[in-house]
Amino acid sequence: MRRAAALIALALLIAFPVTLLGQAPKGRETQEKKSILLKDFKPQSMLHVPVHNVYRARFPVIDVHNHVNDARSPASERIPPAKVVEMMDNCNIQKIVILTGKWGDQLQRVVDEMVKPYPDRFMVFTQLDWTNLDAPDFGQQMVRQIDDAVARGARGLKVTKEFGLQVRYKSGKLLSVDDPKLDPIWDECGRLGIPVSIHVTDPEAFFHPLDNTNERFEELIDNPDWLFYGPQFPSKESILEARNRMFARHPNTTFISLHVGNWPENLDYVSDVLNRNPNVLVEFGAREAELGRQPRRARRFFLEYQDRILFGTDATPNEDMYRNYLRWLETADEYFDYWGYPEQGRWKIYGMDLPDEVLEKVYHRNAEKVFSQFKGLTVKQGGSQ
Amino acid sequence: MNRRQWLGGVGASLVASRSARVRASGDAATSDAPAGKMPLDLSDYQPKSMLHVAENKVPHSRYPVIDVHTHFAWLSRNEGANTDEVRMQFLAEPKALLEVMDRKNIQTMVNLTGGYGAGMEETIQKYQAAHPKRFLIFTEPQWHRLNDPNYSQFQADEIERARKAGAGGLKITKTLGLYLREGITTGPLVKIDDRRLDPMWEVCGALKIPVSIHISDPEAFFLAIDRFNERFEELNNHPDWSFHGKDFPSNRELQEARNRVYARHPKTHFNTLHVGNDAEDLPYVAECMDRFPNMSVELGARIGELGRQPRAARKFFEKYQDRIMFGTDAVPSPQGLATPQQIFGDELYEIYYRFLETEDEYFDYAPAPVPPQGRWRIYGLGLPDEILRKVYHDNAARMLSLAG
Repeated sequence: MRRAAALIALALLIAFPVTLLGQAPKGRETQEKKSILLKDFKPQSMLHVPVHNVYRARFPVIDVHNHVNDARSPASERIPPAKVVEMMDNCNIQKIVILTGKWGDQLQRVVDEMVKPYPDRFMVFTQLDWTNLDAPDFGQQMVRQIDDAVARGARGLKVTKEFGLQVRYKSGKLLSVDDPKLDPIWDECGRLGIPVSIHVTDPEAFFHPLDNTNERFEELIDNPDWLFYGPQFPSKESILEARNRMFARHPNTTFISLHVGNWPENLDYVSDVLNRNPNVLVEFGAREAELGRQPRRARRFFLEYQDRILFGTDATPNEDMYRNYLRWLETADEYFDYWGYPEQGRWKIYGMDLPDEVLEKVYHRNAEKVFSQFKGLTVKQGGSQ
Repeated sequence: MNRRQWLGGVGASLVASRSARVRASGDAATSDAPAGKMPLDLSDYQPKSMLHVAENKVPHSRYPVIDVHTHFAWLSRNEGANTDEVRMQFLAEPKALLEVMDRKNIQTMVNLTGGYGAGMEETIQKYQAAHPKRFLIFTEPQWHRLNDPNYSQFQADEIERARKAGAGGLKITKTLGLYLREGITTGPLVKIDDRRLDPMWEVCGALKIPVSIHISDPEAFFLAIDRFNERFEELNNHPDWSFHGKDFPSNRELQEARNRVYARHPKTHFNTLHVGNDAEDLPYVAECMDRFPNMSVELGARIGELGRQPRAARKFFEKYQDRIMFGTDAVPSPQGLATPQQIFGDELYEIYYRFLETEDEYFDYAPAPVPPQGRWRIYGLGLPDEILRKVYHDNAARMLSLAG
């Protein structure tokens, strides 16, 4: 009996690869399974794939989406400008555009601290002040504020994502992205020849319930106010459609639609927006993760719209950050971390291996073309209403 | 990266005017919501992809397929019988298999775990003899006789007998190298390049039948089962797959011992299962392929590994297009359910075909809510027709002498 049982056990062990048995042998089931939290899971990749570090961009870069030392940053958090310039030099970053420059004195502080000492290295944009939205002449107030900002040195207008999701009239009514009340603002930017860098809606996952099926679960847990799921919010698509109507209504204004038109998960949709609106360009700040997980589709997008894509990062400037973006754009490396991994989702990215011609346009030519449209205040007289 | 800086959207204007009419949404810029406020167990995380990318279904392979790595029959204990006899267990009837095969353009399925002796002969009768060219049965060594006198010659003779009975090749499971010990279940592990096995390798060469050999396992199986292990969940579900610590040789030592066997038996063809059992390290597999012309590989249960490095994988396919064979490691339900990447059926083959034929991006390598071998998604290789035909069919037809 005993011998027979031992032989059976032995025969089992030997004859069948354990992998094939389907279920673990009895006894294993009683063994306590280990449990770990998602946030603690830090898997180390076992892949042996080539690593090509890119230390300097192949062509000079204009980072059109940054917030370094912006108008909202307290003095304690600012990086000495010379230090920023040194980091830029190390990676061949020619210029950084500081989008969040606010207006008035706060804007002036950024101009004085960053732009004046380094006019070729930094540029600053102004923003809208929603405080007086209910005023009948809100549009005109903003036109005057923008004119003042341009006089101080601002070279573009940044619109943040509260627009369309959270900016409301006193009545509680949400301000629609295509509200005609704002038309004078967009027209004024067209007249001044300054681009409008606009962030409208957010990743698609932010419009889904924050549960175990949300691919940006960890990011939303860390930032619960980034969740736009619920009856108080319009759908992502309806907000984007309002934006698109606004784009179409102001063909003489250049719009830089940030974060890849705010729908990098759906490049077919973004392509359609670009096809219908020649006045629109896109930028890819903080969307390396989305584009990098669909490298073939993204590469086709870059080739097709190579004249309308701008380099942007939306991240604190430092060498590692820029080099991560350069590796993604310039190499064919596989399965590496996007900048900020794993906050935006637990996947890895793949390089796009863009050709030189495309790189040069994306790195600086396209941005130069946009900024060369600048006309300034001199030509606006008479156009003002 | 500083989260505040990374926050592209929350502008300074908002902070300035929040009190007026903007809901207090800008707090993300200043508050530090603690991570894990809502702790989620890893096992519960089932993220749905938000990507809108092309989804090309491939219900039918471009060329007829020979699946060189399946398990629809294997050795099993004769339940309840007071005997040491082992019997074959048939996991699916030929008719059920043929229905899927016909739908999926599968010409032949090779059952590697065909056992030996009478059980093997019964299996051959039931599948291969009843449906020539549709099924092929391999034989296996009788490791439990390792310490019998004259085992070496006995095993070689057994393989010759199996060949005469119709066996198409010899299957070696990872038992060799990882489970089989000098006292069968006790003592030191038997070395892969043990001289006692030489006659077994030699006779396969003389008979011109391939050895389908599984040596070692994924690299992650040799690391601790902890939060840094990329196959944590798989190992957690199958703790007996861990070869970390104890007296297990390293992954590389196992492979090198295997390589010495290849070098010593140049006339024997070794179809090295699971992409040479180091799909994570294609440069090493390529080096082995270059060193050993008698080595080929198959894909079973490793499209997860290949598909997360599609460029490196495609280069590998281009370079070794005459030495790569289609295999799935398929196991019919319900036995296959514990390994979702291997459940025999339409879905499994459609995933393999999609992986090989399309350039689709970011899709699941297994039909499961959580990718069972690691939390990543894969990318198709978009192989050209010429390579597809070789991988689907021609290379295996040559190896298995399946003329026509």
